[in-house]
Amino acid sequence: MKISWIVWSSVCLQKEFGGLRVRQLREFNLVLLGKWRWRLLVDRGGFWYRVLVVRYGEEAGRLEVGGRSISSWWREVAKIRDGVGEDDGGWFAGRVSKVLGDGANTLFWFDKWVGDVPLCRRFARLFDLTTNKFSMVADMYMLC
Amino acid sequence: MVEECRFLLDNVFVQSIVSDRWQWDLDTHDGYTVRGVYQILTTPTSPTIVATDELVWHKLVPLKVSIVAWRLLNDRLPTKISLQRRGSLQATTNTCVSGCGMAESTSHFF
Repeated sequence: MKISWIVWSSVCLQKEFGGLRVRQLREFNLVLLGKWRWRLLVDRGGFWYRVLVVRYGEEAGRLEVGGRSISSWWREVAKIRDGVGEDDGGWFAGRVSKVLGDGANTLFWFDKWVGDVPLCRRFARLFDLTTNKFSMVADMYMLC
Repeated sequence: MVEECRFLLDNVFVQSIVSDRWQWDLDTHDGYTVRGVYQILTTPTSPTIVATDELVWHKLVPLKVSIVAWRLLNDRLPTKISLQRRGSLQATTNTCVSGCGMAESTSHFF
């Protein structure tokens, strides 16, 4: 019997695209790390989050990456968070947004809560003039 | 710029009863799921032929026709170009048999 050779990248594709769904480890790992990144947003009350706060510190509602001796897991998660090496804000950060409620937990300039890009990028010059860059949406509407 | 910003913000209202929540733009219902995101990250971006499943492998279509169609869409017909790529043909003999003088590639067939 003749063996048909198929390029590995095709073997890894989903069945709909003619592959066998063999996992691509790099991508799968990235997605699993991204899940932690997602939990950093939605599961702040969790015990694991408080452990991270104690271990690495928190400033302006944001965990610090930490200097020396950080775990390789946290280093990778932080890379996804900060969109290292990506121009468009990263595959993760560009795809999360805030659904506005009372505005008390939404950063006016940095969170994407109106439009497709955060206001600090859309109105970059206004942002430069802002003194308190970490204002919440609720605070800004109080001023109006 | 200030005007544009003001206009944008005029149409937004804060609701004091509900609190803000995060949303995963690609799946606003379930949020971030490993299955969903892995699928998005690994789906080929180039428009491949997906809808052909029902067309090519239709039970009313004879099997040999389905196979030729599948080979055509996957660029696996033994055209002179592909035979040449595999080293079965000399470079000088890849012209189409109809005598039009062009190279015989998959896209040249039809």
